[in-house]
Amino acid sequence: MRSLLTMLGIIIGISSVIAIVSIGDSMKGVFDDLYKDIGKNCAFIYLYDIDEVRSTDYFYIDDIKLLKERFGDKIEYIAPSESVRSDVTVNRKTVKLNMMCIDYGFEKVQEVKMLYGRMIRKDDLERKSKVIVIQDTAALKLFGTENAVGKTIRVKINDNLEDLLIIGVYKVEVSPFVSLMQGQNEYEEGYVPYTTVFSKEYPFYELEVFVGQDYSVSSVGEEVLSYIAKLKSRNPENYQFYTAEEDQASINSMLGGLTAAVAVIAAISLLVGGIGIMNIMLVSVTERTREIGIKKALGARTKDVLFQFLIESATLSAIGGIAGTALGIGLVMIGGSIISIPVVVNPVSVATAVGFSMIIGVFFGYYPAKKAAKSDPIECLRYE
Amino acid sequence: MSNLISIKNLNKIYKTGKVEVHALKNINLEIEHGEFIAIMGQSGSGKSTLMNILGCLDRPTSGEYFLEGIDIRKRSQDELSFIRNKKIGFVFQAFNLIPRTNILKNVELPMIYAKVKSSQRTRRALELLERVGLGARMDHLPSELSGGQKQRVAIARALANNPPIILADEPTGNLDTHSSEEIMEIFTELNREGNSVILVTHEPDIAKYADRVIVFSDGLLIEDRRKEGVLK
Repeated sequence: MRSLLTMLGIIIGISSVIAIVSIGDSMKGVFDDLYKDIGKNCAFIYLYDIDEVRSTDYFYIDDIKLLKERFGDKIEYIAPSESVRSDVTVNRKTVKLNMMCIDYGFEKVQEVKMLYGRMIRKDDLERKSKVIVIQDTAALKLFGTENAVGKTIRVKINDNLEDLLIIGVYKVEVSPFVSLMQGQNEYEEGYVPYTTVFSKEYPFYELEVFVGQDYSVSSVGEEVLSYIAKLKSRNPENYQFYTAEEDQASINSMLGGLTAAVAVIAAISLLVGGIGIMNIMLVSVTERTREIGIKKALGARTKDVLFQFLIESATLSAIGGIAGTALGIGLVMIGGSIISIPVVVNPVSVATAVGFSMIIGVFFGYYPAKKAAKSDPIECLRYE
Repeated sequence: MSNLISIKNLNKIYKTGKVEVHALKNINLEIEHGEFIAIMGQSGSGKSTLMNILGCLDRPTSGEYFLEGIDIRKRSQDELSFIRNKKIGFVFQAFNLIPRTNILKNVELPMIYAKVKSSQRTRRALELLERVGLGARMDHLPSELSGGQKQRVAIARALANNPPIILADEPTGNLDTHSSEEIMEIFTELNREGNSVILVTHEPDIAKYADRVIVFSDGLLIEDRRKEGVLK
């Protein structure tokens, strides 16, 4: 019972260290997934710093065509980074729809899980087809079935009402945690060909570029930037691009710092646990004074007694460490399953935690053990 | 071969604060192998101090103490532990068994420190427990035994490393008359087999089992007599 209470300090310390480090790693995993959705090879190009903006400084459909020709397979996908929002009403059921304006081949750079029908194709872009691919929940809300292919919905685009034919339905899998991170999203999503929405004269503020797998995002980004600058008779500094990778790196470093800070606090609790071990070992030494005296009289040497108590305190804290590890992993697993994110438990951090707890045991057990080992057998035998 | 114990001009002075206690004064004592000796005296007479020194638990302040020719004064704590382990079998008034381990393990303990192999250790411990009539109870805890039985375990433990001296400090002090007799018979038998037995007691009834009685008073050895018919 008393050993359990003693170990509690270590158990709590280790489990919180494990839990915190695992939460950190898991969060990193979640953000990795999040950015995998956006795409690591994705860059957004936008106007940055121009004193007097001319209408020609913006991006147009023709620019996209030029960029495609100029960069070939260095650019896997390029489209305006635009979406259009509209209410859709079918049989008095209304859904808010956010239509992302995409080019064909979008599914090659971003995973789209088609349930029914097909994705937007090259000929849809060329013919400016009035088609749409919507997500499963939108279809379900509007038509009571996920298979809404062939149905038509009326949306408002650029103040005009348009009838769009549903050619496909796709499934969105977002963990509750990710949706929590993204905030309340009242909009259902859909994809439309960007040529259907925007005319040649319509300016875009931002372009979405996916760089080919074999090329570096930053160097291709720079090239695109200088090409655009030349095209617009501007300096490359007037435009800028930002990549998901950069964003991710900054979030990761922030997360890392946060994890480290909390881990330090958890390590302090380990220290407190270690002091608890020392305290109980001192009590144990006092309690067993007589036993130490007997053992010494029977021939135990200083190091025999020293090792006995060191092993005891190391065992105590190692068991605490293992129990703490189990508890920590358990907590993270339960937490992870509640918010359904994949849990990452790093074996290195587990080994470190258990090893560290043993070191604590030896470190804080040393003084009491030394005290026991050095004691005078006559004094010990006289002790009642 | 040198005497078992040879003590010359031995003094022991305790300092507690500014007060000096002269516990043993110029003691001279020779003990040979195979003797059965009772050390008697009132409490405070110095007999316990002598017992601690004989048992290598304490070192004299001055004078000589040779145990089978080994000069005890020059030994370190760990060397004394080694000597105690090999040369002395302790039997205490309060039994002093390790409470949380069974009696077999208790008897094995001195052999663990002597680095005897595990299988050999267990065999020897069992043999010794059988000898004191407790073989069937080897897996009992000390708390499950009577006083007399505990003391028999302690004797078995004292014999573990086959030491030349058995040193018993008031071994019957916590026992009733019947158990006391039993224990003393074991000591007598051990002595008859050739073991040297030194016991410290203040009871004349117990001392009468010994062949030689040494009496202490106020730190001085005042009497050293042999039983009639016992040859030196």
